[in-house]
Amino acid sequence: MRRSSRPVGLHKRSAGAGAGGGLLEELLGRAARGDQLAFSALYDATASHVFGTVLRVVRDPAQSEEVTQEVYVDVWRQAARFDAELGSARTWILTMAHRRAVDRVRRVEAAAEREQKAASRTVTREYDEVVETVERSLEAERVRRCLDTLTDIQRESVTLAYYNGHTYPEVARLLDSPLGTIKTRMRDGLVRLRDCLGVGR
Amino acid sequence: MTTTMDDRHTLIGAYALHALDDVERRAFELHLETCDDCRAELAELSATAAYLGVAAAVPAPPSLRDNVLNEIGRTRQVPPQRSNVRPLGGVTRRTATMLSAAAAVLAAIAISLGVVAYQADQRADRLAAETAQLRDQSEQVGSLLAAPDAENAGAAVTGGGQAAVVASADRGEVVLLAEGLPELPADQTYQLWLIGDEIVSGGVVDVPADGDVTYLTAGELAGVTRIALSVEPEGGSEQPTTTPIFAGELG
Repeated sequence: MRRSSRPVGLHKRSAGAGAGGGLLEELLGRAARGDQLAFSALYDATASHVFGTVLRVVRDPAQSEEVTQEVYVDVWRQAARFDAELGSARTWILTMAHRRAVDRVRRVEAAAEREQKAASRTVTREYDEVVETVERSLEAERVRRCLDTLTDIQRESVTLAYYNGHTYPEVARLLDSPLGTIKTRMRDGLVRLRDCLGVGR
Repeated sequence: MTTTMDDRHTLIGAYALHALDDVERRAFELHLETCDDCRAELAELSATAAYLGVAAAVPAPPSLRDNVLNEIGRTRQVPPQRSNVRPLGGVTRRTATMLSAAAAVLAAIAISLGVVAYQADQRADRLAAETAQLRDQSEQVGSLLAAPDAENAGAAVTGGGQAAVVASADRGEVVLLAEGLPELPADQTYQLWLIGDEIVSGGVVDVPADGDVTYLTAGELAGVTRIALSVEPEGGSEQPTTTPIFAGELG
């Protein structure tokens, strides 16, 4: 009887990956060639990030599901257009997700501001229930810690834009600050966050 | 609004946060086309913004997964933009000729791969470039699942977690897929057992702290009726010394 064993734990990988050569990029590359299995693995690896991002902006859970589905159909359609030189697969997917979420709220607000306001009370309750389940990952903790290193106005400028989907003129009105200040703070804030998180080379 | 070059460049933060209206966004995109430095900075700021999304992670409703996978099944993909697109790993796509039973298990693997991918992604120091290795492993696992004589069995693990085994006697291979196994003290280890007329070790299974593992091993499987997992002293045992916490029945 043979006793040789070949342990091949899939989790074992060496440290220090480049942005474009990781597992998600591999899965996305396979998805680009029509591999639905790879796509489903990519979905499993990123769905909570995408859904959470969309939910923060859109707030209505049912609409957030719709937007999330649109995002993934788009990821599938456009997979061959992904360019690892320009960033990681996760950034590519989350950028699309945020873009779509923001488009959704701006369209809804423009089209039906009044109905939206009337509905916002029930939506807020559902939203609060869903975000109870927010995932506590080490990575999320690190982001929160880094956000704390920003000045108040940097942090508010960045989060009001990203999490609430406001344009910078809206943020300027909300914070009662000049447009130029808010533009600058958004950039400074992101740069400080980038350095704290160690993004880039 | 009149904008100087400097003004425009300052908009890069708002652009990365999707905080420009359509008009200013288009103007900035024109600027981007002529500014290499801006594109490099934008790549970093977009990656930074994406971290804000990661920090907001909320589990997606399970029904959404089915909807998405149904939808992509009938969605046509766009071709690559340019003819000089780099090869995407040079893997031959697995053919769709799999037996349906194996395909069902393969879906489980996909989930397990996803979990692995997610965790790898969560920890920057573990996110790694050994995709070739992963590819070999996942294809090995995939082809094992597609083996005509592949048998599988899954069950809850005593003490926590879920496990499943897939075995092919023809190939002499067995894979253990487990999720949420309890973390063991440093002086203990998980060990797999191939049980028939006699009990043979399938090797010590190294489980990371998060408790998720995919473990492939080779062995003589003729006559093996059960595959079990037990907790053993560090380094493993010749024969099991504790009651198995998981057992998959074959056949």
